[in-house]
Amino acid sequence: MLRNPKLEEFQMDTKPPRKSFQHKFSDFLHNDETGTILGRTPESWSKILVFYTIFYAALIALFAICMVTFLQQFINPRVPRLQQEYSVIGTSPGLGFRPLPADVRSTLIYYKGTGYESYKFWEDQLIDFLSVYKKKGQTAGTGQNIFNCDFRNPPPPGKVCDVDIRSWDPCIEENHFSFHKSSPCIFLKLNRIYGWRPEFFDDLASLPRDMPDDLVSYITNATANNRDYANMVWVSCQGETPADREMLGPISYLPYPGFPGYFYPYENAEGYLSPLVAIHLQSPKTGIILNIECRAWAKNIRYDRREKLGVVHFELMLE
Amino acid sequence: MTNKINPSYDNLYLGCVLIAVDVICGLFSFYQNYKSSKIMKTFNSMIPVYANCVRDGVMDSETPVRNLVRGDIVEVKAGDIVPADIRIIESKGFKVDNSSLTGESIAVLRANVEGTSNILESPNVAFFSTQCVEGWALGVVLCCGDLTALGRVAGLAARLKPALSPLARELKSFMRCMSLWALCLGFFLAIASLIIGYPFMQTIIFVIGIIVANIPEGLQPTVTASLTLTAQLMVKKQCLVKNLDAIEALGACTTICSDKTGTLTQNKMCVHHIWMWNQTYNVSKIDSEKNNKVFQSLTICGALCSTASIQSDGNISGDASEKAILNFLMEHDNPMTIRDNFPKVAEIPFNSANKYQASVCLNKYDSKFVVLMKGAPEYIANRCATIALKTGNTSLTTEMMKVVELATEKLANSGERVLAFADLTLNTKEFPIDFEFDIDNINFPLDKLRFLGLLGLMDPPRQEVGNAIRRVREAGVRVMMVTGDHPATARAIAHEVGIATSENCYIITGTELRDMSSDVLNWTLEKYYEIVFARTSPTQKLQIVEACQSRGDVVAVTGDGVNDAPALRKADIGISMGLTGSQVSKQTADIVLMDDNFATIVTGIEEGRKIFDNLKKSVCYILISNAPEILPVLMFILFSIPLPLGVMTIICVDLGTDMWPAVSLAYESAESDVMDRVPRKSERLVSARMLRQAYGHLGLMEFAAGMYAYFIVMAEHGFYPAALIGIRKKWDNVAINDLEDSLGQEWTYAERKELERAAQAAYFVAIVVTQMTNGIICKTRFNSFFQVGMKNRILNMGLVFELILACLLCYIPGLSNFFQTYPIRVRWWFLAIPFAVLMFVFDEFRKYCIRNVMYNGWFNNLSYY
Repeated sequence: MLRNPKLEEFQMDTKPPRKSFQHKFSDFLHNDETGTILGRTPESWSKILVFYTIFYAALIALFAICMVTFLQQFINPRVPRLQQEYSVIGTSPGLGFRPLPADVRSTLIYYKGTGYESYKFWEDQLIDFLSVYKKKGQTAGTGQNIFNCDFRNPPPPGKVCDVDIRSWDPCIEENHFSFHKSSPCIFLKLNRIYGWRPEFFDDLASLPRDMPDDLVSYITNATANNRDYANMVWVSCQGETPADREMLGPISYLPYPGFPGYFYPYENAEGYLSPLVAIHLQSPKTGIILNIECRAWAKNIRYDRREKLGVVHFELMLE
Repeated sequence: MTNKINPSYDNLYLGCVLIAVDVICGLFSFYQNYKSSKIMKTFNSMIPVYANCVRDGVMDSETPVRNLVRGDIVEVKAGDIVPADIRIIESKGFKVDNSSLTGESIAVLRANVEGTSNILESPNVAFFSTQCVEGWALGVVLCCGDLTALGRVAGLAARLKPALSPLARELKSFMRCMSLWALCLGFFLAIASLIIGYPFMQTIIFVIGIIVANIPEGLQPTVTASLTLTAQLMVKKQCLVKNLDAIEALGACTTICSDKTGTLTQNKMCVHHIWMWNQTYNVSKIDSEKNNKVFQSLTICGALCSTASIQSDGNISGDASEKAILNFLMEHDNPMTIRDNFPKVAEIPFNSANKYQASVCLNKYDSKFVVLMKGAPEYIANRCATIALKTGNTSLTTEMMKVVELATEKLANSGERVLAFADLTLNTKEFPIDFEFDIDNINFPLDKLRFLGLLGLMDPPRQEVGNAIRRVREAGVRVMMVTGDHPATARAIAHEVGIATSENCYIITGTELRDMSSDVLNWTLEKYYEIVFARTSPTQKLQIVEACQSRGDVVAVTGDGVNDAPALRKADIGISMGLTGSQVSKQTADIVLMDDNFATIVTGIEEGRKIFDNLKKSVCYILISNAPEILPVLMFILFSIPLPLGVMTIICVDLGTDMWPAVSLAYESAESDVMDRVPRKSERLVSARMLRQAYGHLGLMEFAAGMYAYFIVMAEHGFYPAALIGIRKKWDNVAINDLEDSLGQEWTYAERKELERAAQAAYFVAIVVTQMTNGIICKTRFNSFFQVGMKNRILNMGLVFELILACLLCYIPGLSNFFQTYPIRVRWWFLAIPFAVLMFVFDEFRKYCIRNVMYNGWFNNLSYY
């Protein structure tokens, strides 16, 4: 047995009092003898508290100072610090479509029959998406920015161009975007990239070889009347496979198969509206999945099917 | 209905990396073990074991034990280890200690007698590995190697796991805690991740990330590196570390029980003082007395009485004190000429009953016989009638006897062994030249001699011992002397080497120890700091070691003799002397001092403490990067921001950039306070203080640096911090290809993920930059960085390596894809600098407070790990 070293030569060691677990635990919570709470005296706790308050305050202060300095000195709230090729976003905007399916992993637009309940989800999606375009006059400070744009009259700085979706019959809300007739309208949009200017195919002879024939002929026609129409980011949609193409039937583009050049560049102007193209699938075959691929055409829109660059893919199935 | 045209390769890459990590870790630890076992092997071969073997009638005293075969005849002498199982064929007083094999503590007699059926009890067989305690024997080898009795037991024992060293225990418990913590955290995060709706696969990846982040992968190589490094360093200092963990245990050592003879002293007797009538001369000042007639008689007597012989090559062989006398005489006279001039005609050898040794020589100058006697002073003085003075001979009166006794006592008290010398010239009439001296029936006078003087002999302490013991004691290690020698000698040496610094040093003899209960012994160890145990037996040495260990001490035993072997084995660290040490002690010991330099122990303690310190530094370094690896996931869940640090990047930090600096901290030199503090007793490798420092202070600063870098990269691209909070669901949605940032730009999923990689890379780089600062911070626990400087070249290289590796990971196109990093802009490397500076300043301040024990040592209690 070991002697307690604190004891004198002839002093006897006393038996240590036995403590139950509960007793020990309550001692840990609050010990009357030493006055400790959770193993420390209140004084010790307060010191810890003071130290960590100061320490974390200093750390947060440094973080805040660095953050604020950076945000104020180097960041413009209206202009991105890194743009286009300097930014990860790059110079090739992505093409998007509406309405979007509910399941995030799917790109299938599917509805059954012509009843309102069956396509209500898709219609609501589109109404929601297009509400910005309809309500532009009501939004504060946006209405007055609208400028009547033209190829010859690009908007002055601070002004934005209008997108008149009301005239795109049959792809209008009142017509249920033609969903009820099993010839739905799908809306296409090009992602906004600050300061991005499309490089147009202004020379008809140099149109890419893989451009669909109907688009080529459309361009030829349009530019024959007015050369300015060449200043468009063209859009084409078609079935992915020859079979899809056959089943898909004719497609009409509203208002034109492209985004007019005067919408660009996007410079974060108040009330800016992205140009839209509605594609009206006039008579797609029902009861079968149709793979549709839409592509945006400009010299500086990169195209890579594998990487899904410059192209958007969705499926359609009507029953 | 999903249509994944090109499934992502990320998970495949992750799997590859994890498998590669496992394989590399396995190979690395194999390599390290292989390397250290190779070192151990060379150690073992450096202490060869030889046997005296007669084969084909030829005796070879240098036959390696492993070359023995059945049928060889071996000779075993006292102190030897029996080299194989042998059948005794000839012996004299041959006793073996079978304790290692049978547990008998008493040595048993073995001889060429009839055996018994049980071979273990057979009185004519001696077993391999047992030690011969007394006598000698010749025996025929019966079996060797694994076939021996010990070999069979060892075969059994090999399957049992040996007890872990303190360091191994510490590491094991730490690893267990860490793994448990990692698993719990992983489990918690898995649940959280599933609740917020992450797919199962993604959740598994998170959990893997968390576990990888928490497990300190760099620890094992660091431990092996420090131990191997130190062992190599110790070899350079002529110190063999047979058991790698022992060197670390030496750092934790609280008590050293040192043997005296051969360890503290040179084990070489020297004449220290000469007493001739009423005058004590120091050996260095005797030259003035060269022409003193008494001194001349004393030299003659010494030369003739000493039984040591001078060999042709000038070496002196014989008993220690006899050699001492001859050595002394060599400096003043030529004992060979004396011996030639005084041919010996008879000699009565020394025995413990009569306590003297006498010889009769013929003086060639006057053809008279002389009786010369040497022995214990009290016996010699009693046989003397006259005493030699400078002026001539006078009769030895009672008062004079008192003076002689006093001188003897004085010399003896200073730890010297005193020998008295006397002579008597025999009368030619009674003892003519042809007189036959008979030593069995003594026919010549051995009394009425002439007393010549006294020689005080002493085994002087080794030169370096005093200084070494002072330093060891300064390091808070208690040094006790445990010797089989006389109390007076022990006390004198203890005073001389500094084990006893004051008169109240407590001396316990073996007899007193036998009467002590273990309680009283404990109490004595408690009450007296300086204790000298004298006249102790081997078992008592063991008892003392056990008593110390039961008090919770970590005990080191230094010894050279066979009698130290049990204590050496029992001790936490057994230290043996390589030159003077016996075979047994060297084999039992964990550490062998090849040049017998006691001062190496000081280095050993320093190195041991350094190992523990450096391990702590390394663990701290590894732990600090855990916080910035775990917290991003928490931010991700709590604030729904895009994930700030990916699993791959966590692996890059833990198994890539952090690895070398963590290991290189093992190469850090010792701190200045390493020998000023008391030995650690219950100090843990990883304490609450270290966790506070790692997770609460520095880790959080790294986390802040990482988050800052992350937010800045996001902000520069258009996602301002406010916009990020709560964005996670949309951000991680593959279908959303037009997520708007704070400036109305729309991002596709692929673009977003690329941006996420860029932000994660910036976070990763922030960790790398702060971890580099951290490497500098963790260099010291106590000293200021400015005192230490950047002298650790391995660490410096490690820091450069860390930087280069981070660059490679970011900028090599294939690698950056594989490891999910991004070639980030150069300016983003500097984002962490303010935080790195804060870390450095804070830690210097903390260390300053610790050094000066400011605020009542508050910082010391908080974070001095």
